[in-house]
Amino acid sequence: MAIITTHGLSKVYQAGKVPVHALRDVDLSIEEGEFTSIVGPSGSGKTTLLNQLGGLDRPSSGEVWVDGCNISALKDSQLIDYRLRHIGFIFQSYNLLPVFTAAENVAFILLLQGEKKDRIRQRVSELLTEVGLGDRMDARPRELSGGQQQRVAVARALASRPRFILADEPTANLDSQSAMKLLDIMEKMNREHRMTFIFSTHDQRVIERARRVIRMVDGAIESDQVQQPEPHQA
Amino acid sequence: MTTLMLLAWRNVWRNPARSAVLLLAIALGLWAGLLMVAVSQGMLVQRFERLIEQEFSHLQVHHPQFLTEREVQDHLPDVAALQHWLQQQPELREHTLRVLVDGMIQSPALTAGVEIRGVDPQRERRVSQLDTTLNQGKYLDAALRNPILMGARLAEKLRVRPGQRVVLTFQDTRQELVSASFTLSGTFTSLSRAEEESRVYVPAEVLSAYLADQAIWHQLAVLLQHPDQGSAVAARLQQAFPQVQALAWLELSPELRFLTEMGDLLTWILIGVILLALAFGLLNTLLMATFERTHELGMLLAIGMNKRRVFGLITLESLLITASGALLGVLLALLNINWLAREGLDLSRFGGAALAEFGYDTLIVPVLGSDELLAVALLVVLTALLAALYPAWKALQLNPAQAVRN
Repeated sequence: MAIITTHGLSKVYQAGKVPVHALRDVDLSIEEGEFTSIVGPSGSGKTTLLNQLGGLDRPSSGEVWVDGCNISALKDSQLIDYRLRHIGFIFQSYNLLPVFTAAENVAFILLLQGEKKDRIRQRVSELLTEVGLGDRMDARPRELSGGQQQRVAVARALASRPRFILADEPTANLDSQSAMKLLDIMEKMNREHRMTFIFSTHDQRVIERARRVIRMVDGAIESDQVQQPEPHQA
Repeated sequence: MTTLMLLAWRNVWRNPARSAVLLLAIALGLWAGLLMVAVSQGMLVQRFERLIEQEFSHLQVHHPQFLTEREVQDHLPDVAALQHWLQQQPELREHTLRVLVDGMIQSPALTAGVEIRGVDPQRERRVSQLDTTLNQGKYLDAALRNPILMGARLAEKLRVRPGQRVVLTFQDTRQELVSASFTLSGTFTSLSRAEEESRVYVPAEVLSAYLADQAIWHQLAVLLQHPDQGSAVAARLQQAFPQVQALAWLELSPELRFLTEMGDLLTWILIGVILLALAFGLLNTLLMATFERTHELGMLLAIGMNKRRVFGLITLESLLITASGALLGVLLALLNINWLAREGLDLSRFGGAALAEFGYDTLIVPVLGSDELLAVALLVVLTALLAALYPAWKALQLNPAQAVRN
């Protein structure tokens, strides 16, 4: 069943007086439980597409439907609430709150959702244990490696039990070992919890692990292939 | 709210050096401002109290023509009835009657014009504290025949000491010139140079006997429980005794009215300047903190923190740092003001003599009312909120998609 559908999605930016077509008439459908990579050279529109799917930006034309809701038509305040309750985000540079511990970073999104404190404590502990950081719950981001910080970001994205997770070049700042470990965790979440992951990436290691690869060139989808992911050699 | 508060508090201390400098600036600014307010209020309050005690009381009653004509025959009618009415008023604290006449004083060395005040020695000391200002001799010594008190400067000019005689010359109610010999009982000092050079006090019964066949009084001076009661009691008295003129201190002395109004104005000008400096300091720091955190604020908006909460976060940061600095500043100021209130602030080494020439004490006891303190606290909070508005508004303008990639 498709959880995300786009119809004729376009985005045009003004660079001075010159219009830049970042997305051109993109029609796309993402099924529940997918593990999908959006790939392409810089400027091909990967991040712009991800921003449209996540409701971080509005299209110039076209629509984004999530679970039967046209999120392009939502008001700003409704869109913020929609992101809080339905979408998980993982950013390239982790974007954790430096003044909070790992546990507080994960708990924060649940507090914004108005969850009860005892349930938050339990869920935070479960998630950080699942991403292999059960013993670093009280560490601040500056006390964690890049890979560990990105795992906290994954736990944060999962905390609110979103319908899908958008990850913008999640391994771009990680070494090979950390990148593989992160991919293992995300694959496990996808497999065990049927969590839908959509990545934008240049990283060949990520592309090889994806089950669907959408290739973009000049703001348009050039190819859309389902593939057999290569098994990971631990 | 607790999480937002925790996040705001930790954000404040993210750059400890910058926050500490701002906090200290707020604390020192408030400390200096409150101290200046307290000292200037203290000076004005002391001047006000002195003028009330020595000159105007809270309310005075005269013959309707006396203040303009100052004729000896314009004395108060129905004095007994006036006194009886006053005794019934709950606001009454003290009152005294005075005989007032202008005349000449003569010693072997000099002749000078003086204002002669005939007073009831016991009542006068309770109203004007005259006995506490003596620097030489005794207070209207009953053992002397015709005792007289004069200002120390006048005694110096006349070159007389306690126990020596002077002659007073004045007009009686029949417009005849009368001269009488008085013995100097003591000399007093005053913050008013004019008073110390030109005023003398004698027993009212002595002066009255020279002026008329029966006891006459020109002034009824009244002290009330509170200065603010002056106008109301004066109005009631005026209604009960239309044949006299009853005036509260506000009407008797434009200087006193100016002093109280000026005191309030000065306080608010000082506080306003401090708060303006505080607002710009805060605005600068909050703007810097907001621009430095564009990425992070964008992330918060992206993951679903609504604009109300982002606005609240920046406002809370402003409030927390301002409240911490203000608390420290108020605490410092209160400790300092309490210490100075016990010891007094001696300005005699810093041009205090010039102050004395204008009738101000050189030993200042600072005063800070709880009303002023509460108003400052509220204004500081308001300033913190206002200073946070622009940075918070800037944060709300962020496009999360751009901010997280910058």
